[in-house]
Amino acid sequence: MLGIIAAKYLLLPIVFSFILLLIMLIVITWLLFIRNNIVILLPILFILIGFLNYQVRTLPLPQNDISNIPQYKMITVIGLVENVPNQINNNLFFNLAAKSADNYKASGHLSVISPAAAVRYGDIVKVQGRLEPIEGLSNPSLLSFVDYLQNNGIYCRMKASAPPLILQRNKGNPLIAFSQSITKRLMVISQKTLPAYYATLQNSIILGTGAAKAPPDMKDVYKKAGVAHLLVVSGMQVALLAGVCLYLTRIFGLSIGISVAIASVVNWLFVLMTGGGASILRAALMAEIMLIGLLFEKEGEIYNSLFLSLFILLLFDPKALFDIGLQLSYAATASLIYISPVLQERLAPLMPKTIAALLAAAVSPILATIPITIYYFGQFSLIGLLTNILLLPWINCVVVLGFLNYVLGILFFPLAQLLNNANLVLLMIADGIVNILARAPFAQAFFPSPKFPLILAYYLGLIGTIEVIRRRRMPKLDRFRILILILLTAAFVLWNSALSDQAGRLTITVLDIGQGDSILIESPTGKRMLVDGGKAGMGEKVIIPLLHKKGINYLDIVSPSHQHDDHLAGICEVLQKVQVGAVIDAAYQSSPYYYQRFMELIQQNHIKRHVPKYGQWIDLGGGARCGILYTGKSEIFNRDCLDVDNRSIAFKLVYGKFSMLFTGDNEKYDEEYILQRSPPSLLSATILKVGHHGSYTSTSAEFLTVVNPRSAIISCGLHNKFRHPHPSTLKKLAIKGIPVYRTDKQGAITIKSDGSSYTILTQK
Amino acid sequence: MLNALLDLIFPPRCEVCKKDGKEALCNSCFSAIRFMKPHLGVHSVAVYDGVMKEAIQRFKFNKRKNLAGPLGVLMVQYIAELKINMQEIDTLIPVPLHPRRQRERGFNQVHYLAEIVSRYFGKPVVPALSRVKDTKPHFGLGREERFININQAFAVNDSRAVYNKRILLIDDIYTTGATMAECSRTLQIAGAKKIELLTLSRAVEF
Repeated sequence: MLGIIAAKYLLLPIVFSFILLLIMLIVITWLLFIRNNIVILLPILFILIGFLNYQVRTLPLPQNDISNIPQYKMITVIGLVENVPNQINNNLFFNLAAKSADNYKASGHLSVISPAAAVRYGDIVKVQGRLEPIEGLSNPSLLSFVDYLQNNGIYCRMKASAPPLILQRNKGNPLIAFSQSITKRLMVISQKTLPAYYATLQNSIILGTGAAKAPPDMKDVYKKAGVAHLLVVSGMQVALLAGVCLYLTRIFGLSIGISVAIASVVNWLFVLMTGGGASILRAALMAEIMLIGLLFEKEGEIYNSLFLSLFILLLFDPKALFDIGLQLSYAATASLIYISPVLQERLAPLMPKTIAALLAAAVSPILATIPITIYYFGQFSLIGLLTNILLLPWINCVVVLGFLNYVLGILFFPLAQLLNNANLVLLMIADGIVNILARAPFAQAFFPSPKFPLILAYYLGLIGTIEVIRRRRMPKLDRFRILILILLTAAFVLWNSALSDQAGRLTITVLDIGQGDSILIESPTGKRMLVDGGKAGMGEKVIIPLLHKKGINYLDIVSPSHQHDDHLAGICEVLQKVQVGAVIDAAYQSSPYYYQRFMELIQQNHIKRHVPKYGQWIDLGGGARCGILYTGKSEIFNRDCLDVDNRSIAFKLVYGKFSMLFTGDNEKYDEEYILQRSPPSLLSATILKVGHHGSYTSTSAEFLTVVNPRSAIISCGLHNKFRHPHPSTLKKLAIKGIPVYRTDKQGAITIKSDGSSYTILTQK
Repeated sequence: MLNALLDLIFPPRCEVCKKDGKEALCNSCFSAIRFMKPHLGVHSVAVYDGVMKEAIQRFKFNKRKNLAGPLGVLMVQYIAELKINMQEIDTLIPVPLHPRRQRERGFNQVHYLAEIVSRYFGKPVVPALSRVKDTKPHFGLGREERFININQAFAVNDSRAVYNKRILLIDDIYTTGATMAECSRTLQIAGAKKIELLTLSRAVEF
């Protein structure tokens, strides 16, 4: 594990670590002959294996890899459909393992979007289209879909111009095809016997969301209620299947070898059926180790099989170590093995045995997974303990009944129907509990993503506490131990503060939300202002997750610069999910859809609304303030301009000697007016957020001369249809020697200032 | 090689106290077992209690066949302390399981014990008895019920191995003696010359 982490962050040539491993092996064999003390070297060996393995698995792609083909050219690719194609409206999404490209041999994987066709897993298809690199939004500490695809070895995608031509069928792995056909049949049984919503729920609970594709809303509610693990296949299903297999084979008097073989086959078939997430792989590997133990009449050691399964899993896929599912699954399982028995033993004298067991089983996984959920999602479910206590005792009945229903559905359908009526009641109760609790006030708490020293300290503290509880006595606190404890605490505190965002600084994050604007300003005293929110979907996809990860669930000020949807639409999503203190927006006459929605949300949530006036200063605390220079469309004056709707609120953010000018989508005519109205000293700024995404309609030479920025930032989307930024704007900036930072090329841009100097960090 | 690998994955440990170690029954657990004196003509190695009870349960129900060795050795030790004269024994007969039960469990634990005894004293194990009635488990039955339950449960399937032979009948647990009595009755009818009774443990009711 350490080795894999090291390999990710240390870039050493592969030859180097290979030689190191060889030397290590020689040293170990040599030591084996002269002395017995090689125990210390074994961890180093494991670290090296991990290190090398990670390097081997992330080797550069071969020459003929599909992603090395020049992009944006029409080509024809023949390849194997690798997954179950997903149809959304008239578009089909699937992954292709390339065999040839334009009649040349090719390798590698690509993701294809094509017009709908009857494509299945295992088809050999011919598609024609343009190859594009996969591009995504890159924002601080947010994983995007691109990262996900790249982790799966997909580095480019193709937009097919016509439906794929099916050349051959059933060329995929027959086992995968077989297991998928079973999954499909089983899911149909649920769909026939249950209302649609509950069919999806039952399939998700039994086969996992990987196979059953639960809608995001459902996942969200279950996450809020702290029972997202119900929608993940885990040890329960695997244990049930293995147990039933062993029992049946024993009843039929089969030998242990055959029954183990049958159970193993069923075990791995189930893995294929569920699509094989980290938690199912863990459970299946642990079950397999148990089965092998049974074969050799050895009894498994639970810690051993836990770590062995992790070792095997990482040997095949070292990158999985950074997978959220894997981390959650192992943390939860380890807690059930280690923490739960200790708690149960201590709780037993205080309450009935069953309640003690239930409480211990509900509390331990929560204790062990808190840092992981907060780290990745910036939130954790406060209500989770209650939900788990209410559901854990009987939710397994749903799984058992569901499995039985599948079996009956295949054998004799009417019986399945009868049985699922019973299961429907249970599902409704479970879903009802989850929904009610998820909606409870304070169901979830938001925290900023903890830094690594804090996470490490938490786990050390947790283990320490559990050990004290287990041994029923405090360790002797002599001077030496107290000293070590103090030193450790001090080290953690120091490291944590060294890594954390320093307070007393102004932080401006220009988010990468594709085409549009969205800027988060955090004042030195922690007030937050969000200027613009990007296009529809960006609030949900980028802004809200980012706010959660930063531990922000309250915005002091939200301000759309004007009402175009690439500035306002995302804000509407933010207003729905995040508490907002006040809104600053100019009054508009025309009212497009998102503006109406925006006004509705302000009224619904009783948010204070400010209409800014020229010359107003808004205090952000700690000496940071915003001065309004222009109020956009509410300015009534008679002038020609290209697009009245582009008129935006313009303001200058000042903190000590540092300042930044925001002009929204204002155009040259508006800039002219701003220049006339305000003295040059008020307009000059350290950094300029270039107007209108760098369009030629903005940023006149005069305006640039007066503002005289030291750096310029352009917020625009990659390959946007408006072709922002315009070369003429870039040229003007280049002539003045102003460095330009662009969200399309560099991802999110973070500017930090202490009032005198400033730093600019880009995501890419 | 395979064994070393398996030991790495499934570390060997004492079946009773779970401490790591090569032996299925570690030395301290082994020495915690106390021998019993013969009682009413029945030889029992130890009281069905503590380590012995745990060991037998792990052996029978958890199918820990590696316990056959140490438990068999206990019987051998007991015999070696001259409470039974092995010179006067011709065959070892284990109390059988019903075929259905044997299939369920996969093995007859008593047969395993008898094999160990046979290996030390060179007397053959002859499964001459078979259980013809699928009796209820004795666990939870009263004394009277046990005698009724076991009645006519056994049959001799190899009368030559029994006729005019001196037999050591072996079982794992002796509680009321119902099983042992029924077995020896069946053997006597078949013409056994002499029957000695040996059980691994004896349940003593307090």
